[in-house]
Amino acid sequence: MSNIVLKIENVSKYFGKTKVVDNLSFDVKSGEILGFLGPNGAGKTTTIKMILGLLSIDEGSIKINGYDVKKDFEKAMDYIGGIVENPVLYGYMTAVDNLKLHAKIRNIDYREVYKILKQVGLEKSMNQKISKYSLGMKQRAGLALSLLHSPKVLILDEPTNGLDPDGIKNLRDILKKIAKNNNVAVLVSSHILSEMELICDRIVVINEGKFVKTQDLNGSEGTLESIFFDVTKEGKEDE
Amino acid sequence: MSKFFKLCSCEFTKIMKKKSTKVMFFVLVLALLASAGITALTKKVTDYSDEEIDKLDYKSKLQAEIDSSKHELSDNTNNLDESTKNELLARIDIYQFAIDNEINMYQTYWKSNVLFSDVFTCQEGVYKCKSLGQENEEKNLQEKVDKMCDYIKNDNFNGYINYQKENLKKSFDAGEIAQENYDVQLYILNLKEKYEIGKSFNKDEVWKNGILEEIDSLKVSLATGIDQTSFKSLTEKTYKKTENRIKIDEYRLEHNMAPSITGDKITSLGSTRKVFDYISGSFIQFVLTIMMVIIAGTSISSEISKGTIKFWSCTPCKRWKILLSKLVVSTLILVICTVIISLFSTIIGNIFFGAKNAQGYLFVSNGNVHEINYVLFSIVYNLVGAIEIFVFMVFALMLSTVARNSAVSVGLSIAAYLGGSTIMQVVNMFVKSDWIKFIPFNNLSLTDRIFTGDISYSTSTMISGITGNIPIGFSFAVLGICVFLMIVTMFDSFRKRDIA
Ligand SMILES: Nc1ncnc2c1ncn2[C@@H]1O[C@H](COP(=O)(O)OP(=O)(O)OP(=O)(O)O)[C@@H](O)[C@H]1O
Ligand SMILES: [Mg+2]
Repeated sequence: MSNIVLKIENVSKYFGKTKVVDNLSFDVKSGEILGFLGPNGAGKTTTIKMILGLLSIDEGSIKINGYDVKKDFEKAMDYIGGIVENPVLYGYMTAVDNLKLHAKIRNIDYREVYKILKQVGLEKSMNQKISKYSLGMKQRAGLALSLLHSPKVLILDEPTNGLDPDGIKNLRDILKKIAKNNNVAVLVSSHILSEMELICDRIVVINEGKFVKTQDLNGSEGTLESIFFDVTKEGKEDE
Repeated sequence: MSKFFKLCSCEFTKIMKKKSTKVMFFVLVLALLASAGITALTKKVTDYSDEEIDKLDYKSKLQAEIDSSKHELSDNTNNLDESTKNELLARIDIYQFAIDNEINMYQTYWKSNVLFSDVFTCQEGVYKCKSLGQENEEKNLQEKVDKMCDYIKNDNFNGYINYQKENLKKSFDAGEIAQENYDVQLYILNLKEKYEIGKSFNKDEVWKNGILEEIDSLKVSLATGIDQTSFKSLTEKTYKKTENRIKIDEYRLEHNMAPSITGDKITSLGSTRKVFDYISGSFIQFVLTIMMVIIAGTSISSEISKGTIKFWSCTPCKRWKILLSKLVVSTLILVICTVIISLFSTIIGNIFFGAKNAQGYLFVSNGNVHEINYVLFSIVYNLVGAIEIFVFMVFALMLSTVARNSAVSVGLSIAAYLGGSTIMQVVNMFVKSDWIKFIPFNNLSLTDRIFTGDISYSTSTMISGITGNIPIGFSFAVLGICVFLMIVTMFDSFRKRDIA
């Protein structure tokens, strides 16, 4: 059950001369929800963008379900779904039309579109133009989009942004369900520690692009908050 | 492959769902209606209508001229010289004759032409000889005047033409004109006789005079070996072109097919339908260019700036396929729009300017004149125009991927489209080197250069003069290389750079 579906090996990324991600390695097993933590500017979004093929990988390799993102791009992307920062859909189209575009590309039945929109709680407003959506509704639509093709790996960058408590609970339920039932590996980054504590099985903490710590949360010693502050303090002491 | 097809279909859906696309389709239709309006207006401004000619009461005008001439003659205080006196005397005679025989000088046909020019001069000569006492000469001229007036009185068009032929022969025999000159003039007279050009006044057939004028100057070009419009020696190619042109012109006379612009020295408009076709063609080209530049110029940059490209980038489609689908779909939209709008323009032309006036395009092959079907030609014509639009579209798409800014790419492309040819005209005036023919802007105006059959020879010479007489094949090569380089640039830029 514990096969690795997302493997990040010695990955580095430069923006100009600054090394934003520094020799980072970790992996995510299927059925696992991994929290991806770190202070602002730690390099979380950058790492996620590399996984999703938005940024080139300067050093190291990223494998999704065994396929290298660099060499086997199309195969690797078959197994992954995700949202980076604010999910953006076409504002002049309805949520249904937006999702149908993606369903077409990935050979998915249109009935799936309605099912998934219902699952994220958008069935009432799915025929409304995205430009008329609120922030939280857009988040939900983005989540629906990334779940549409039932990916093996789901990557979410700050998905709780703008969600109401009901939305957050809904998100948590969905993530738990797909991890348990569909064996999906989930990588979530968020700054809401209490929420991460509820959702995640394990966390990875990075700082200044470097791997700092990983920890199982089941029967953990100390709260997530104390772990997080330990890390940032270490960083400060270095300076 | 099927994945790429799906990508294209998604791209198509995205473009079609945009409001701006719908607005642009609407503008395209408006442009067609506008060109119909402009055509009607141009015709109204350039042509006198029948009532307007009637309103210009020519008889009282002529009478007033006669009265003032008489007054001038009888007034002894102003010392008139001999030639002025002769002219006044001749004028009184001629104008009186015009009133008596109801010849309207505002109508251009053979009677008014002959009376107010040839007869007038002869009559003047009669008075001159009288005052100088040259009796023989006077008798001679008087005979001429009488003869011509007879033809006019009896409405004898053919008789007059024959009389002119006789005169021509006489002056040729007397060695006054050269062989080739004689041939050309005889040829023109024969055409006049055959097609009864100018026999009666008909404002819808004024174009025939323009055609005759053109044949005249082309024939002279062939005879002298020097092009009468550009004053360059004819090459083998231009010789052939001139010959073909004469064939087309004669075909027009034979089948009563007016071109859009006629005339050699003075251009005049031909049939209304043709004018509409020409105006709507350029309108379509203009609006379609703007439309395609906007579609292509925003396609990548707006997705990058809004962030929607992120979703596409993590679908199982390589980046170059995403860009290629945009290129393919824009081109497809261009082609489809061109065909549809060509058909639509036919419909509007049929409604406003009559279906029976639609005429095909004339061209010469193997020495015979052929006619391409009207609808087919309007599609082909606009598709050739679309090649030019395609170049600007690729330019916009390239800027869109490289600059990643919609305003920059759309703005620059439209500026290049509108300003490029104007700037090139100025540059071409000052730079006379050979290399300017490699500049893409000098290789545009493809339709005007390929389909020369509809515009007058002098106009088409002028156009090719502006664009520097570059062969069409060469232009295609330059544009092709240009498009290739732009496509390479954009794919390279899109593949390599990060989507932040
Ligand atoms: N396009 C870019 N060009 C240059 N530097 C960048 C770019 N994007 C991010 N950076 C830098 O990379 C570093 C990591 O940024 P990143 O967005 O990955 O942080 P993060 O961990 O997601 O932070 P946050 O918690 O605020 O979302 C930052 O120092 C940032 O300044
Ligand atoms: Mg971030």
